[in-house]
Amino acid sequence: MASPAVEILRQQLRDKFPQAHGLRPEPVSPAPQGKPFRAEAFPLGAISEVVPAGPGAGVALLVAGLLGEPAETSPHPELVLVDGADAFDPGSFTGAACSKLLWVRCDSALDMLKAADLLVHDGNVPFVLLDATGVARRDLNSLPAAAWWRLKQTVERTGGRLVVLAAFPLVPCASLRLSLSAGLSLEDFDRPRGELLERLQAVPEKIRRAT
Amino acid sequence: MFAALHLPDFPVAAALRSQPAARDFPCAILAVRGPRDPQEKLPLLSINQAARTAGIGPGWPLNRALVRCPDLRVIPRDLAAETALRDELVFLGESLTADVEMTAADCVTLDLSCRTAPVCAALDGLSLAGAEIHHARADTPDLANLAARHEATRGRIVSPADLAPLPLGALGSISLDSAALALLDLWGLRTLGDFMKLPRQALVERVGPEPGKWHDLLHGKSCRLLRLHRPPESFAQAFDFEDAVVSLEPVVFALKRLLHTLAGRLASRHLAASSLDFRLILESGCELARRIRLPEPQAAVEGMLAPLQTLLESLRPDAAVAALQLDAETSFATAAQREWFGRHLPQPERWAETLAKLEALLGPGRVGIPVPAESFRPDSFTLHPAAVSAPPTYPDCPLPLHRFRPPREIAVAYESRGRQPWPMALLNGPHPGEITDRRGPFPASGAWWEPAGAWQRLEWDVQLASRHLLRLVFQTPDRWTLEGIYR
Repeated sequence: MASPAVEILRQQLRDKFPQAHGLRPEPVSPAPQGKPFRAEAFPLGAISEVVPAGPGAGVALLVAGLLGEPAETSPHPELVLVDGADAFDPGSFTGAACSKLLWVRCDSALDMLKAADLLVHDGNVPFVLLDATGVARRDLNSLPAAAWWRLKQTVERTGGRLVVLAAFPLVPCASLRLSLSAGLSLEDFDRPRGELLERLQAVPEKIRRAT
Repeated sequence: MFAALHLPDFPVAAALRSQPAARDFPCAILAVRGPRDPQEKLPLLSINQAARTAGIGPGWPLNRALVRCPDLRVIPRDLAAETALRDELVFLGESLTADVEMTAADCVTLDLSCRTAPVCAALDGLSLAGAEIHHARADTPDLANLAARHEATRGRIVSPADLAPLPLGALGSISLDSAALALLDLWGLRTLGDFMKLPRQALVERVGPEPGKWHDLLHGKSCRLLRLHRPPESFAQAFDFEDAVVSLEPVVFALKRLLHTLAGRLASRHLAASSLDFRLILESGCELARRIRLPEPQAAVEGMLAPLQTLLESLRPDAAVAALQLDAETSFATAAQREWFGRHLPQPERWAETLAKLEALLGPGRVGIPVPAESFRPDSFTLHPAAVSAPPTYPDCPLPLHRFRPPREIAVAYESRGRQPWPMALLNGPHPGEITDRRGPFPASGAWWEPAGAWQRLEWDVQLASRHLLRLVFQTPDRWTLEGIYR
């Protein structure tokens, strides 16, 4: 009878590498409502997409939720932010929260995609967040769709999480698309961040695929 | 037999090397100043012989010294000159013997046991431009050290009995235990001879172990080993191409040869490279230099070649490559077992290569861990290659901002209320429209002490009719910019 620690390790390996154990990946189920800022809300080995339901949807709050408010500096990054428009503001987060993040500052949509490809291939940091919200729509539409499909295959192989933040549905092969809303207004500047995070609502959208 | 070479008044002597005309005047260097210390009460760190002749001693407060000697000149400390003088002293010591110890900033100790030639004339012949050298010899290094620092015992071979007339304060040059020295002074001991007459065991029982060590030292019973000075070994290599090359393959081939040599030298010394300094000298005379930090110390050629090859692929030299230089910073190779239950990067070598490829794709300074700066200046931060201890900063707004870099200049319709403009509508830009609600103005300014760097601004958080939340900034005389959007 194996010890509990070994059983836990076996389960973790089974979850991370289902193909190696002859298991089929589970069909992606809709994310649990109300907690889109937890990494577990996004499926492993797949591309997820988050689009705002309207202005003030709280897309930046989602990043804040993923980073949290840790008490200590992290020795290694736990999350990579590929910033398509170089819009991330370190001043909006604590130093300890920023230490969990590797910030990749891109100047163009193509650089953003190439950087994401390098990081997904690498696999050392299994959570890659690609922020395309500040990139012009024309530049995003010029990205070839095949690039997203190749990225999806790489993510499936490495078993990481790739989450794309976009102002409109962008990724044709996303396994999960969440519509984010928080209904933010100027009054919310006086509320604590934790309360605003609890207001974030993520509704899964139906993804139509070509037949 | 050991010899000690001592440079008296070392900081002043170093500083005066560049001001030979001031040597004949009484000069002093002040101790480091704290934020609230008035200058006139600072103690004198070091003085020259002219100041000593005027009756001033080191440690005197400046105001008292100036009363005694109004002509006293305060000169700034010159750390670069001190380093150069120290190196010259070590070089002189190495001319007599290979076994040299840098005992203190102003003193080196030589082990003459391996030297067969007479040393007395050689020691008397030592000289340095602009500085005096005092020397003494003894059977132990600490005795030689003590003797070289005092006029009564320098320039000859000393025995423990020769040190007896020296003042008790001489022990301060070999120990930092000022409490024990103060106690011995309270007991009425004035010279080293008084101290040496005390019974050792009783001394240790009453004062502690440290004076016991002094006792053994003064009686010549303890002879420590010298901490030998060895100059850091350089792993620098260079390769000159017979004909300047324009393609990558010959450079990589030459680099592999240099790396094979480097790997051999590292292996023979049981060291590993922690960073590589790489320099391309172009035919036009320009140089391309990069430093690559390796995630783990490497001694294998493949581990050092991969990041260098990624770097080479990203470089676009505008002239042919004439020569190649490579140097390495070394450390001990790590041999630790990875933690099973602690978080770490699964493949740090691969991670370093990915970071190198990202730098090649996006340019230097575009990838790293952001650290918010301790400053009120907006958008101030630094990017670090690895996690560093961040200062305790707290965001002043619950909603994170998405910045526009650079901020977008826009036209704003506003009215003047008092002395401040009041924005009413954005007339152009990515989000034109009427402002339905606003928070502010929040004035901010900084660096007012720098004429060129001073900044001042008024910030608003505004909500438009389209429900977009934006940060608007006004800077005199009439400049409006959009700093970012709260998505």
